Amino acid sequence: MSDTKFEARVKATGLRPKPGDMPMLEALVKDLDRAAAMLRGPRPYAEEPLNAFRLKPA
Amino acid sequence: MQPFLTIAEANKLIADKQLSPVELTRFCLDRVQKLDPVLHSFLLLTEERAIADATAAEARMMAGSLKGPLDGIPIGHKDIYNTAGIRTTGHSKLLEHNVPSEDSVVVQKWAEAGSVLMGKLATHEFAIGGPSFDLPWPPARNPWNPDHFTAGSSSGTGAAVAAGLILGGTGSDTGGSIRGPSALCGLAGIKPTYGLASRRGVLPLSQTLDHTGPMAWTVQDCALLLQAMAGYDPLDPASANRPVANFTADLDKGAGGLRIGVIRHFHEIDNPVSPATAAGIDGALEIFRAQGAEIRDVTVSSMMDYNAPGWVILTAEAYAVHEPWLKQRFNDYGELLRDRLAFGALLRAPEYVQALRRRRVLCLEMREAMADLDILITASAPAEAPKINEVPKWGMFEKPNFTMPFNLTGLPALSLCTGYGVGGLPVSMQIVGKPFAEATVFRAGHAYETATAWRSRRPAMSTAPAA
Amino acid sequence: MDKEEFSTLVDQSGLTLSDEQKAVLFAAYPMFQAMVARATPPMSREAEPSVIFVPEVR
Repeated sequence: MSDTKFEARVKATGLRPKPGDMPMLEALVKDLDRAAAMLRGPRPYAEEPLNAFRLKPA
Repeated sequence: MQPFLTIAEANKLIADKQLSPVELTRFCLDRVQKLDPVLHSFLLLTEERAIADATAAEARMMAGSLKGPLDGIPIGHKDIYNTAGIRTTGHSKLLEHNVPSEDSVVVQKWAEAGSVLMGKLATHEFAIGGPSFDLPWPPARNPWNPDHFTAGSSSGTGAAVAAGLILGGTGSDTGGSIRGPSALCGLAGIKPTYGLASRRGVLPLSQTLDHTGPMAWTVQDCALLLQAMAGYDPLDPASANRPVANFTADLDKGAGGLRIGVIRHFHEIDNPVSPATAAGIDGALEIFRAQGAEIRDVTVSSMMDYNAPGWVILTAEAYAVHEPWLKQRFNDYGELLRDRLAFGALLRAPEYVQALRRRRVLCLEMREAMADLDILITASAPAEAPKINEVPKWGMFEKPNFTMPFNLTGLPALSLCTGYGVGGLPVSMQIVGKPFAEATVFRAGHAYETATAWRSRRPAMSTAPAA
Repeated sequence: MDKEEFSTLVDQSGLTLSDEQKAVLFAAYPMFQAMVARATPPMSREAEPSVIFVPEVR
């Protein structure tokens, strides 16, 4: 993740939290960033998602 | 030997021992040598393998043990289909030296059917970035006029089949990549129902929209090719566990009794087509009506409403596939792919999920629209092929395409040639069926093709005498 | 969204783009946003996604 300031990241999403909530939000997002980084991989290129699109015959 | 043969014609001659698969293969190889320096349809010509395959087919022919309609037929694979021991690049610098250890399921099936592997065919980079001039290989050119676009992403298959370098080939279709090149190169090409043919071993672009399928000169040939690639694959999570229909059984039944819906607003209002394309569709409807079909117009949501969730889903899923490389090797991709997929980094998870919810709403709408119909008809491309250097980078945002609605809904959709425009390049229409009703789509397509003379014309460059 | 906010969005994604590359994407971003908006109109709260989770994983 880049070192972009947290306030700028929040602003870019369009969210406008109360200033007092920012430290808590920043800590939460750091945890989510870490979790997302773990999920991201490295994963095999051809790995399929678990959810599938299914069609029933007419 | 006739200069151009369909698969069905070649099969009959081979079965009657009147055509040598080796002779046919050498004829195609010679044509590749002559035309491909201009067309750039092959990324890799597997000449030795082709001769070996053809020799084996010839031995079966002499022994009276042919495997079926594809035995001894020269074909090619889009270069996103893994081929064991044969380079598979995705037309990208990132996989420039990639040699898979296993065949994809479809490659394996066609090989088991006795086909002759001529080589690996050009694609837009990873089936989305093209036409690009900044990749290790040039883009394929349209045999009807090499200054013009083939469409993509199955660009090499479109060019090679139209010019008679191969008799059929594989494409893949995530937003129109089989039907687009089939339309602009004057072929028949079908995106089958989602789940009918395995995607295993094919480089993924967007897993819930990706389809494998065949491209050939005629509808009948597409039916033969699809028969040999369809079927349940327990290791493809999207694969449908159901019996495969006989795609040629109804071919000669004509259009009598078919109930046909025309999504006229797609090609008259949502993205108005050229006069030649419109005339082609109207002419086809006249033929169907004369054969006894019932025809009426149907209205669904605007074509852009179908395109928008399609592109959001495609961009999100494709970005997820390519994210590691986009982060580490952004500049090793061609400009078109990296710019198109970079937007995936800016999509938020809820937007992807909303698009998936919207997709279901639209699937239900299309099902309702087809409830008392057998097929739908609209255009497959707006007009003849544009010049290759005039293809806009953001075309998908500017005008909705005719093919994405049927990736989104997963319905089988066939593009076929309906004549030629003022520039002498092909125009086309699209026939759409209910889920797993490919046989009906082929029946209608074959009824049209055999009632018209369009299949007797080939690109001038491929019919010109040798210098 | 202005150019700076867009740049922040790109940076936080983890992509490393030159200013010139960012400018190309920034110019097309309104078209992309319009596509996203069109793909996500209001739907009933009960609207299900088209991909299905099936516990029999294969």
